[in-house]
Amino acid sequence: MSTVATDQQQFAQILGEYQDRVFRLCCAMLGDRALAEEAAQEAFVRIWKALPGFRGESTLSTWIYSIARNACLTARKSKAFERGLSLELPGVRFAAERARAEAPDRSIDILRYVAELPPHYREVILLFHMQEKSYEEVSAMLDLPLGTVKTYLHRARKQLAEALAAGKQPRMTDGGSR
Amino acid sequence: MDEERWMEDELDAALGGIVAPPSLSPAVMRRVNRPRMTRLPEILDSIGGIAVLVAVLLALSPFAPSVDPSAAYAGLAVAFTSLILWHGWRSLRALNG
Repeated sequence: MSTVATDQQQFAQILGEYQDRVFRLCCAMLGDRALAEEAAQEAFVRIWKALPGFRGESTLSTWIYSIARNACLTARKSKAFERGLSLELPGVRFAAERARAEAPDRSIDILRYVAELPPHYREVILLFHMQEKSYEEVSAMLDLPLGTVKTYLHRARKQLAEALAAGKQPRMTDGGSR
Repeated sequence: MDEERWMEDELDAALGGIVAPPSLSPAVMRRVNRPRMTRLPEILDSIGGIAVLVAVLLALSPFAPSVDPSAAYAGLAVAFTSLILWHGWRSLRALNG
């Protein structure tokens, strides 16, 4: 009985501490708020079920992110995700909706360029900006070496800059002073 | 350089500060605290149902002398087992919501 209580206490702590990061990871991988929330829920239910068997062979965060990534991969196979993909690319729709809601007059063209990036660059650049620009966090969340994260990010930025320079100039909302 | 800065600012503005919706945590706790479903009663029901039908068939067998017994038993067994499995499948679907 006390083990169950300890597990519940530990799980509540994990949920409080990781919900934002798991949700961001799901957003970057799935791109749709509803799907991301569903996948995050599923990830935490899996964490709850597997928690008694967690032996600390990897760090807690590595273990949690690995479960969250698997939940996202399962969600990607869902019919809802396939329908979503036909409308807009993952990672971007969510951000665009949010940006539009927060500042309707703001240019969000940059997100359209992000949508054109290859999926691995897109996930890295989305997570990097969601995770307060922490290379280490992105590396842990996507299970990529730090050097790979930096390389992907560099290439993503380069491709974005090239796309912008190729004549598809996004609208500058404040005269370019930002 | 300005364009790079603009790009970074735009990405920060669009993607920074995303947090989990307030509904996530209560929804997870609801799912976690939900009593765990078990399929055992349904499986036992099916086994029990099949046993009862076998007993009934055995009891009725002396009253069907004109039919080839092996074919009759096989046909009836398949029909009733299918019925029970279908019933069990419906129960499981209801159980899983």
